[in-house]
Amino acid sequence: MPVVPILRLAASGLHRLVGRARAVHDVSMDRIPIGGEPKEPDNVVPLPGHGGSEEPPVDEVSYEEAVAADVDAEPEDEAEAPAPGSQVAAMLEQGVRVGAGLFAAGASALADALRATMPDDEGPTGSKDPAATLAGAGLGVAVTAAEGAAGAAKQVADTVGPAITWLVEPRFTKEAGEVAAGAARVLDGQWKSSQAEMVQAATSFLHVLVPEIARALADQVDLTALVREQVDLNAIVEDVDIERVIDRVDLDAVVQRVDVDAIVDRIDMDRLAREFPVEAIVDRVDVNRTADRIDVDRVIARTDLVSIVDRLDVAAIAQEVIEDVDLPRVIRESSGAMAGETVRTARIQGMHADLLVARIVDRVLRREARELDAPEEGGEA
Amino acid sequence: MSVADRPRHSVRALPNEAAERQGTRAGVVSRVLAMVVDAAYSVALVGLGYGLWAAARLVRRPREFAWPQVSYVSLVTAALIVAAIMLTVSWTGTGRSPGGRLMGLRVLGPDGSPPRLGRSLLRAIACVAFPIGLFWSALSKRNASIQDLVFRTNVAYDWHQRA
Repeated sequence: MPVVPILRLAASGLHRLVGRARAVHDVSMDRIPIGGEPKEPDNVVPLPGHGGSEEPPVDEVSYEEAVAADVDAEPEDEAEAPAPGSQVAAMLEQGVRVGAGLFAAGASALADALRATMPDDEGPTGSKDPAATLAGAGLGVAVTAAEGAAGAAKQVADTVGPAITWLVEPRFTKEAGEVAAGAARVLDGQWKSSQAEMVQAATSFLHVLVPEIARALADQVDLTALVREQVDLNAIVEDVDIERVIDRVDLDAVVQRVDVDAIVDRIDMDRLAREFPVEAIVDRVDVNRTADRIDVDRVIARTDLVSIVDRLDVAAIAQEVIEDVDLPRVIRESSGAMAGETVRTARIQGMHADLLVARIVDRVLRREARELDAPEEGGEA
Repeated sequence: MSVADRPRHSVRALPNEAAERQGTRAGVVSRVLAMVVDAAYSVALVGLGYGLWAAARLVRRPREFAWPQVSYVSLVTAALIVAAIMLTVSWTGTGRSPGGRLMGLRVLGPDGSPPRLGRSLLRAIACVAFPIGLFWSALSKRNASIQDLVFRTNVAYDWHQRA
């Protein structure tokens, strides 16, 4: 049942394509602007064999001229194409435009990538890029299909009869080869005529869609873990110019914002003193080596001994010394010592003789030592 | 640290080797020398007594003066008695006999102080009667003579004067 309208639609599309192919016979798709104005493309990537500075051939029709010719050739289509009040058709066409815009961007990127892999000397200068032409043709088919879908309801009324007569028209068979060759160019021109609008639609769509996609991805993907797994942070850090970062930091301002008093108040000094490994630190310090490095003479030379002596209570010290000394005993010993040098010598010699005799006797008797401590006064009863 | 808490440092007037041995038991050589001195002191006292006696006789009867005739045994006996008395008195007071004073020796009782009269008297008699007992101090592990063992006395180096 739906075969007949579809055939009618295809026949109508091919008919229009043949007419456009005649008008824009030599339209070439030598440049694919992406995401910009078609009038003044700023990101043009020349295809191989078509340098940016190279002038297009004289016999070729430019992109703008082809669009104008296409518009002029079929003025009656624009009056018939839109379906008044058909929002479904408008949405469908818009959707196709968005898709085509996205496809255009992707195709442009793919073409760039393919071009980057191709040798520079491939193909003669001035020849058309068949891949670019076919891509434009594909886009033209998409646009035509969109327009056809938009006007489908109206076109169904003009049905089978005219279509059959058109199909058996001798002109079609006779010029089939030429039509087939020009159809691709026409489709390409069709794409280009709508390219700006499609890219604009795709851009608007992406402006809305990309943030949503990014947000959804962020919700689903653990970016932190991903970065940890996939990113070599060390390599990145190595590339960071730390000196420059430090130069840009106003440390004075940072320090001024720090409330040192508050920090000190929060320190538990008791715990710090309790847990601070003073013993471990002291064990690791070679005090003797440190002391050897001290220049004592220099220290003394720098010391104000006079001021130290002035601060001492010499009288108190003298009093303590006198109290420490057993003066009566000193006096007694002195009087004993005054017995005279001869007597002292006799006593000491007697002591030596005592020790000598005792040692000899002990050696004879094989004794180790004598118990010579006499009882103290007031001791043994 | 207050003064009372600090250890007292003694300042000595004695030679180090003598100061180290103060208060220890004296050996046989010093004690024999002291005994010799004491004996000489006793003999001197006896001689002094003999002289005084002769002088008294000269004053009383100058024409009939003649040196008193005294037997050797009497002199020795007198000397021993004098020695015993002298030693008793000197030991009881300060523990020092004349020989002990010279040699820096002091006789101490069991309590470390000079012996009392009875102990001093008995020890003096024993020393005079049996002086050879002193030589046991050369053999004794505690430098004790026979008299020291009997009367529980000690003889120590003590160069200090005592009141």
